[in-house]
Amino acid sequence: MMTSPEILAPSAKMIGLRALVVSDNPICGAVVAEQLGGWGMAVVEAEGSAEALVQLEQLACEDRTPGLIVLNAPTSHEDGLGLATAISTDARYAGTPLMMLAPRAEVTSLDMESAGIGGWLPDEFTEAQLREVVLRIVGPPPSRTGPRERSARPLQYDPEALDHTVIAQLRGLESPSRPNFLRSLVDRYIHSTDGHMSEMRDAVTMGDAERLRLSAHSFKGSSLNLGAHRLAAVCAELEERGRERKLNISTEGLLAKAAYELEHAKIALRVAQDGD
Amino acid sequence: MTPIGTSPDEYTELNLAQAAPTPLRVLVVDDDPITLDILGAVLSEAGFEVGLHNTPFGTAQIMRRDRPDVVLVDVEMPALKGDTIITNLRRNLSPGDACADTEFILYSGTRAAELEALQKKSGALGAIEKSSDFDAFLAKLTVIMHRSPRLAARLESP
Repeated sequence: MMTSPEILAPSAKMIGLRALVVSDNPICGAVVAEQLGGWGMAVVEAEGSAEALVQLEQLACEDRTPGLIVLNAPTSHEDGLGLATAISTDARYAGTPLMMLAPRAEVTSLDMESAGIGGWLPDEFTEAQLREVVLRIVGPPPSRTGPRERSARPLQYDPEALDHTVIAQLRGLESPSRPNFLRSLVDRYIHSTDGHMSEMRDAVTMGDAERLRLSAHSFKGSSLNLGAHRLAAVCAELEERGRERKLNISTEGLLAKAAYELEHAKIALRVAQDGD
Repeated sequence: MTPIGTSPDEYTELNLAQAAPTPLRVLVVDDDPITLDILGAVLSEAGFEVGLHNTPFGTAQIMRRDRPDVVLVDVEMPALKGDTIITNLRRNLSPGDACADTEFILYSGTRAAELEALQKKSGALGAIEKSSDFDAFLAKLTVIMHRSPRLAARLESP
């Protein structure tokens, strides 16, 4: 917990910087969020790792990736190092500074460095110490025209989300007896994706490894059918997690990645449906 | 193809019964309707007569009625794995059934080693890994069919 009511001026590095504060205890999280907000940072709070991953997914989709992620007093490995690893190994958040406040007693500095955490403070710290670590790990002041300052916008068309040879093959199957074959397949696939994602999420939430294996396997197959190879690759990883019964925080990270790839696949399929 | 079924969401389409006797008849059993549609189109374009069935349940009945030469079975379906389906089907078909000599081929996105083990366990004629390369799929299917003298003869006949 922060201990002294110091009043420290914000730095230019802090003003407008988007920060995600992840805390199992919302009251502790609110204290840190209030302090960062007081320094001019735009703070988003998440209660626990699962909510953090959802928030990150949403922010990434809106091209509003945070400039700082604070993991505050995690109560489990999954909510601390596990979450840090999931974030730091995700290409979308590469280079995003991670800091941990009040790590669990058994966590070493080497553990934190290995998980991609650039700065940390023990259980008791002052505002000055918090400010010092934040300034040390964050980059230069956010640019008014930089990516963190851009307004929210939808994902852009990424042609590499699809294997276009598959689309060409499917289009080649169109005939007078199958006049809108590709269009029909894409419509049905997209219609089915919410169910596939829900099934995988429910499996992870309930800790049901076999259900995850089966649902991810099914979604992998459907996605490959339509050439959504990047999404299929993430599903294959999720299937493997289910097979190995490894349902942890990085599995939730994979779910977030699947949701991200799905959005890209949908856009690319709609473009393909209209004839590329 | 004529849709049949007992409920609106049941996806069971068959065209075997109405088809001419010469081409090889392939029944595809897979719970994914998109896979069924794609395989139906690919196999039809390749000259096979195709039946599609979206659940393992009722397959024996369809086999008796439509006498497919080959049943292509998905491995990972809810409730039943492909090898179990084949075992159950063989149990349900008597030697006197006209479709008793139907061959089974497993078809799945399951890992190759696991698929091979399931093929041996079930006595299936072969196993094909799911692929979005239709030409490779058809080539593999043809190779496997040639393992059966009866199917090979049918394939070679004009």
